Amino acid sequence: MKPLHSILVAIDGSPPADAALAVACSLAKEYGGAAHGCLVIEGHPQLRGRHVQWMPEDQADRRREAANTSRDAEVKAALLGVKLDVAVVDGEPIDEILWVADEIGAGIIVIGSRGEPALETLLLGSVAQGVLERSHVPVLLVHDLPKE
Amino acid sequence: MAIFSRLLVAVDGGELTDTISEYALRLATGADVVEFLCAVDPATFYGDAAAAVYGVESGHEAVRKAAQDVVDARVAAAAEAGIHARGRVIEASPVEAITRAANEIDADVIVMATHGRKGFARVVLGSVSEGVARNARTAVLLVPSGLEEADPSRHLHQIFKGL
Repeated sequence: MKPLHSILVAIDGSPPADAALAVACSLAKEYGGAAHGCLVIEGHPQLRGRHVQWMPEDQADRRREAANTSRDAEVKAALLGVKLDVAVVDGEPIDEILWVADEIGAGIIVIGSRGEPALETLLLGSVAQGVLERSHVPVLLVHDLPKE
Repeated sequence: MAIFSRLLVAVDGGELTDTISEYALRLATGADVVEFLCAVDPATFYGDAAAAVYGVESGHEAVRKAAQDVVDARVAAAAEAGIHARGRVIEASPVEAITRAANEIDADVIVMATHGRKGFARVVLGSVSEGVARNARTAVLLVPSGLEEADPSRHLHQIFKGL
C-alpha cells in the first residue's frame, strides 16, 4: 500500500476541483501538511513528421488564467494550513496528471468528478474517467464540498 | 478532525479486499460510521457463476454465507485496528447495492475497487465502479489492482517526453 503522504490534486478552478482541493487539504493535514497540485493547460495536438506533439496554448490570457488559478489554489490551501505546490503543465490533461503523479511518487490522486459547469450534463468528466482508468494508485473522486 | 465521518466500504472477498480495507481503515480515524458491504448479485446464486465468484457451490444460502463471512472478517480486522465497524450483505446488483447503502448511511465516501475480480472481463473502467462513480452523491475512493505493476505505456510516454 503506497503511503498517503504524497498527495496529488488536480486543479482547474471548477467547483468540483475546489471541493477536491478541500478534501486533499484535509488528507494532507493528517499526513505531513503538504500536497502537490497539477494544473494542465490543454494543448493542441499537431503532427510533426511521424510524431504527435502537443503544442502549448500560446494565448496570453489562458496562461494568465492558469497562473491565477494555481495561485488561488495555493492560497486556499495555505488558509487551511497546508503547503500546496502547483505544477502548471502543458499537454493532454489525463496524460499529464498521471505523469506528474508518477514523478512525485503520489500515493493518491484527488480529482473533481467533472470540470466546468458548462459540461454539467456529464455525470463523470472525461479527464476524471481517464485518470481512473489508467492510474496505478487510488483515485479519490470528489463531487462537492464535504458535508459539515 | 476526521477527514471522512461516514464510510461505506464495498468488498467482494477478492484479492483487492485486503487493500481496500487498509485504505478504508486509514481514512476512518475518528469516523462515526464505517460499514463494510458485500453486494451479492442474484445472478450469481446458481451454477458456475457462484463457484467462479465466491468459490462455493451454487445455492442461495452458500453464496449469502460466503458474503457474510467476508464482511464479518472485515469487521473483525477493523476491531483489531481499534475501529468499530459494521458489516452488511445486500442482495442486489452491485451498483444498486452500493449506491443504496451509501444513501442509507448518508455516507461521505465510498471506498471500492476500480476493477472487478480477476477472471471477469477486465473492462477499461469496471462497470461497477463506473456505475457508482456516475450515480454516487458522495466522494468515491477507487482502488486499482496491481498497485506495484510496471506500466509499459508509461515508459513510452517518458520516451516521447524527451523529444
